Amino acid sequence: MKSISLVDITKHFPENGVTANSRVDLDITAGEIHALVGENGSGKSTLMHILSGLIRPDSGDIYLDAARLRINSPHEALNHGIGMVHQHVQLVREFTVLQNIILGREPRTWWGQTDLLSARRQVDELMELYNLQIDLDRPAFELSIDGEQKIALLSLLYAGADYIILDEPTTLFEEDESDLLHAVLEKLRNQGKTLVLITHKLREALHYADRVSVMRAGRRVATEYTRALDQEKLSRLMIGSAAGQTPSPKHAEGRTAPGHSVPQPPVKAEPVLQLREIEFRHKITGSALPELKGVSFELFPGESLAVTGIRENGLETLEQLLAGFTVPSSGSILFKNESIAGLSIRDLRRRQIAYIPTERMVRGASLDSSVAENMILLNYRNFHGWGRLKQEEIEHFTGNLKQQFNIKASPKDRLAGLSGGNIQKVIISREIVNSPELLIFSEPSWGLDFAGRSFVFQKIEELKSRGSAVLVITSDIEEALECADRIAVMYRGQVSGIVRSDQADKTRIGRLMLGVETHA
Amino acid sequence: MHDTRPAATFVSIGLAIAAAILAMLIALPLLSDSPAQTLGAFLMGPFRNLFYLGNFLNRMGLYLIAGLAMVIAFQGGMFNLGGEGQVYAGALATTMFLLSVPKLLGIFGILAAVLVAMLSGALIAGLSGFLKMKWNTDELISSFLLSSSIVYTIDYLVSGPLRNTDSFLLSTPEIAPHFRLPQLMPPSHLNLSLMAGLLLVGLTYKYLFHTSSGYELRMTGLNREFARYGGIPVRRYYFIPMALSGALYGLAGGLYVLGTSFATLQGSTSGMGWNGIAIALIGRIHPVLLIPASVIFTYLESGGENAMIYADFSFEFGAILQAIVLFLVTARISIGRKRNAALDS
Repeated sequence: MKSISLVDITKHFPENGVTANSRVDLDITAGEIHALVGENGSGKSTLMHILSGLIRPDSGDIYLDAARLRINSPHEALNHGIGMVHQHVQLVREFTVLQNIILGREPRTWWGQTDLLSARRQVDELMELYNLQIDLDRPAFELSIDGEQKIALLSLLYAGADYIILDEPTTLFEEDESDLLHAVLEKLRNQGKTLVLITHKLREALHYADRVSVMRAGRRVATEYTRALDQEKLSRLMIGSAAGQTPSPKHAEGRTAPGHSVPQPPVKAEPVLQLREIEFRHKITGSALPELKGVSFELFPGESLAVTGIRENGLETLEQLLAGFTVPSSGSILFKNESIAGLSIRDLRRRQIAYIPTERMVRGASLDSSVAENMILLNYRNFHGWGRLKQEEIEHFTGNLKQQFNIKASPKDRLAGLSGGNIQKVIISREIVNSPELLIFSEPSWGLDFAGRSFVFQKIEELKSRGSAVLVITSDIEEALECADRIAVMYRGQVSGIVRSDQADKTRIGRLMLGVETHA
Repeated sequence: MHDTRPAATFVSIGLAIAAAILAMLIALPLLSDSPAQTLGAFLMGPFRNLFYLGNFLNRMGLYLIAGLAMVIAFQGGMFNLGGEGQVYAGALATTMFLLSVPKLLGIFGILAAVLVAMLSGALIAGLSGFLKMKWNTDELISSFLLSSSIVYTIDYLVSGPLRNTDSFLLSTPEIAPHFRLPQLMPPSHLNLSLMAGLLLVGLTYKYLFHTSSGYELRMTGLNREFARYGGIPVRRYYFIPMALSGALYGLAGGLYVLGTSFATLQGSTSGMGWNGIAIALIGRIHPVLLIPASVIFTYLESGGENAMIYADFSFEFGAILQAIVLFLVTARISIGRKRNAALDS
């Protein structure tokens, strides 16, 4: 096996004036697991997109040992054995899992027909070898994100890739399966594969990798063996100052003084949101979303409630219901004692219900529009007189948001040109700037590094202190513990328990999630 | 599709035209006995004299309006494939209206006729939008089918019941001179409709980018899911862009009658609907870029016609040149979009 060297890579995006990579050198030794860490926008993804042929660098070379590689497309990269598993995988939705895995490299029988039998045999062997189990006959559109990434990984292995880049691979497996990821990585390494992990989770990098390279502001600032590192050292390298210690607000107080920082739901206050016996049945709705079977809970002003659970247990359905994208088959949803099930999204928005969806980049943002156009979505009606939008007021408003949320972009920039973290800030700023009465926040720290995470949690706290109610929908237990006062756990379409986060621990909630325990 | 960097767009359109001219230079010696003369006739087309220049500008003005019709539809995420019928209907409605009202109305008659033209186009295209809103009927199919049947119907009316039997042409009677737009450069057809086209560029730009309805329309067109999530009444924007698009197409037909033909001749507006699509694509679906786009398109078209008259240039070759430009320009758009999509991941 040969080692890969990236030499003097520079990439500038003229669209938004960002230099994503500036004279970056990186060596990836044969047979190692190499973690690439850095904050959002630090250039780690760009660098790996260059290695995998998705982006061409402005200058710089890639070597496989002494041989200079010409990589102009993902296809050429794969011919050199280099492949990447992206966070969001593109699949042919109508094809089965197997057809997607072998796509473009279908084995042929002697008369030219796709030889699905031999393909299946080969893929079966791979699944066995790497302990990556997936139902090969399901159509791809039925899969969740983790399934899609499994397909992408199997597809690379099937194509014979030796150098595999994994982008945020913990989403490859659900929370309780992260040991499985470890096992898969070990197996890959034992088979002689070289792995690059892109991650912003330091624990993950230290746990899985042999070496870690740190990217900051487009440059590689360090490469170290993991045995010479600890989390604190690594975080300091990543942020570049003593700021590595930024505690999340909850961890700072909530844990040392339980019950102190958690505001009691004011006893006399009316609940902002009340769910009563919500049912969502396939027979009635004809929808493919997971069913709900009698979900009830309440949310008070100034309080945050996290609804958590493993995927397919009803979180997705709850999100769609509360946001007005679908209606329950029975039961009532009350917002300040008024039934809102069946109201249009427009009417929900008029009632100051803010919503940050899981699908940030599709539903939450218009990537082809400008930053300003994304920012004014909920407020543009405030800026018009006689149907005309007042440009000065819009400039004032967007300038304010940019400053208040420290968004690194001009309001005129195309949103797609921003880094993931900044796009998130645009979305979040838009939703909370009006101090909504209720915020529905799905997967708050999705795709964020820990600076972004603590920023988001801080914003949730601010909203609460102004009297807003926050409903967090998350599949991440730790996140639920960190940002919520109470946690409702979903299991098979029911609430298996509601616990106060200062009285709960991860194991307890995990047991509720798996249905091992139910709350009395 | 809204590009915020017009400079880069100009460069890419310029490259496409350069490529088309190069293709012509390569092909001309093979296809023409006197390549130099043909080339000269082609390039000098509109500048031969004031008559040609005036007609060039007049046609450009009408194409500008047809292009704007498609810009609004595209910006709203709708595909109005019925421009041919809407222009034709606008022309006939204007003619029949002005033939039936007293001449004394003068300028008010013209203004009312403009409204009639817009209304007729808006009704036809709006119907497709309405069907989409109600039953999710594909507007691309419904607008095309509707337009095709309208074209045949008007062809029949103009050659039958509404025909001016005093004329040798398949044409309605002419409108009264009181209702004709002032001519700016006789004997060419150049008239006030060019000014109307330029004014509409400004108005469309204002509407799309500086009004709340324009904002709603564009957000819906770019990302319907996002618009819906933000509380924009997205269903309405199946209808609005189609109706506006139809109104502009109808207006193009109406102005053609008011300033150029003074009657509805069979097939006289044919091509305007399709060319509107081509010009909107060359102009990257941006109202201001439509000005250079319509100049280029009209130049190629009238250059080709001129070379056909004054040299041995075939009609097909002119059409091929237009196709090359269109192909290169739209290819650049889709390549640009692909690259952007890759960056999003």
